[in-house]
Amino acid sequence: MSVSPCSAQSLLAHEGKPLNSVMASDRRGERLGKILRKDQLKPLFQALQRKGSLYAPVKTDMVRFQEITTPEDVDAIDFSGHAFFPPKKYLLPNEEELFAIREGELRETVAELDQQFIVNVRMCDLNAVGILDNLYLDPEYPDPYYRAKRDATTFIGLNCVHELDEYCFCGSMDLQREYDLLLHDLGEAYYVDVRSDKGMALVEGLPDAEDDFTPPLPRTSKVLDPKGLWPFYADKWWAGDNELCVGCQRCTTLCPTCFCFDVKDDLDLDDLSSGKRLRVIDSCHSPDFTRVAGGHDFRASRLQRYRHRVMHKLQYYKDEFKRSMCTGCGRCIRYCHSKIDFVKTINEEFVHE
Amino acid sequence: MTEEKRKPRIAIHSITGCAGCQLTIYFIKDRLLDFLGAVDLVAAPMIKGKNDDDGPYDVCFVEGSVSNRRDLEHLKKWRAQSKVLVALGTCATHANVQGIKNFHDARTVHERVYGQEAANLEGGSAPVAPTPLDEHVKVDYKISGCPPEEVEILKFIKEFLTGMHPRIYHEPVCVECTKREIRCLLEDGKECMGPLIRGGCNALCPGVGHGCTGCHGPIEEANIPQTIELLKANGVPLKLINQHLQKYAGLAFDKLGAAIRKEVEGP
Repeated sequence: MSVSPCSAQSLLAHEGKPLNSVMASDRRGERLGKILRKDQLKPLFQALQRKGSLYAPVKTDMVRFQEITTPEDVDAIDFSGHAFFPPKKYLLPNEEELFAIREGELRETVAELDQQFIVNVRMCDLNAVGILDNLYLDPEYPDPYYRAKRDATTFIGLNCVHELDEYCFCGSMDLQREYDLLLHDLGEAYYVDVRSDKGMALVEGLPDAEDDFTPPLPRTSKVLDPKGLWPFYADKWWAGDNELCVGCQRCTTLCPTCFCFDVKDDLDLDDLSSGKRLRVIDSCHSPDFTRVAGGHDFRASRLQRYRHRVMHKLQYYKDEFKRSMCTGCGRCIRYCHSKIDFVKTINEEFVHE
Repeated sequence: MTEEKRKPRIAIHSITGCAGCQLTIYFIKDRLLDFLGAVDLVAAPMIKGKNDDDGPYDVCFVEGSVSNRRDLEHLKKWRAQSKVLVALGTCATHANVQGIKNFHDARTVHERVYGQEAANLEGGSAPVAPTPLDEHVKVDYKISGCPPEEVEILKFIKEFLTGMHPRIYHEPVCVECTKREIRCLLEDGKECMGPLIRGGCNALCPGVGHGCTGCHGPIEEANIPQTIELLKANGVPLKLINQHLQKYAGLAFDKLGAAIRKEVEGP
């Protein structure tokens, strides 16, 4: 049985107010726009490397977020692609140590982290961070492991002037301006949209933008019809897609907002009273996810699990937080072995006669 | 009190197979001494001169498939004297490559392998259909793999030693492959059995650009028809796909409904 941190109690604690409003609340009437000449971008990234760790997308056989360790490697940063794996891995690693036990003593693993700067993050993935914040930074039960990483992280977005490919549908989702800084390409320069003190501290020396301008939200040709899904809960609506699902869990593994985890112990063989407790990213598409002691499985069929994922993304989360949990990044369709397209299914097939 | 401190009696036994699974245990290198310190290894004929063949054992690891009468007698004896019996490796869990024989005329295979001696396979050497252990006895845990992964064996041992209910990884290869951010071979139009096959290998083969060949056997909910469609769309001939399905775990795929009996011709 896996754990997801959105207990009923924690869901109620917020009264539907997105926590990320905190992120944008420190503006205090400052100018929000700065202008960054394109030749100033490399020095800016190199300055970030001196302050902490720099992570950015790099294209090789695919676009992947990775650490940019040397000043020269800044040239390899990608500005055109969509990263395969979302940058959530810097907040929710696939596996992380929660605590260790040595000689009978428990030691929590929440460490003081160096600053990390994640740059060229797309609007979909920036929004995903806000969605994760709602869950992991619940005011009553904030997650200390997430908190430590989140506090140490600055997000610098890169606005999509054109849609990246035919799978993107963020244009139809309820996108928020959630980031520390956003780079918007104006041709010769970037308009830098500043949304936090953390962000402002990095660009204070740059000239203010003269015009009152807000970078437009990305537009996509693929759009999701925002209809409610409760009338379409019955198995028959999901059966067609389910036939095509091979159960590989790429959709959840690559989703920028999938956050569920399992907890495991890893013991030392030489002293079985010592070891560590790990949090491991899990998937609601796994048959093990809802299997409990005694062998009962609450969602025993693949169809139930597929429906649960889509309902959670588009309906359950919205019922609690008044926004969709899906940011339209398109990864679950783009990287699905069978190209199962829930957007197409909902748009075209979820229609009552 | 002494009972409480008694180290568990472990046996590592072998029937028809290449013995590579027990080698994996002995190759845990820096942790082998920890392992030998934590258990009482009472029977391990490959590495020990004196072995307790009569048990009882707390845990008995058995590698290999039941392929002749002697295998079956041994297996039944070990089962009777073990509290926990672990099928170690894909021979023990799925009959592995010797299981391919199940899809061909046994006599033709025997004659091809043993020539004129085929008629003399009698007594303990008399062949039975190559089968996984659980076709014959109750198996408590299965750790598949050809060979099984060192980390899975160690994890099992550690969980058992601390009184936990050992958990065996059940997810398809794609999960670890995706977490490692490996470019998908299927997406690239290549051949990979990943969606059907139990991981635990941390996507060893796709990680070096080779498609999964299926050595861990199928996941419980393998979607065989759709995966075959994906492979066919990549230009993999159906005959080759079915050979892959037969290769390590033909009987299991057969039970899951893969139509592999009629698709592959005899030798």
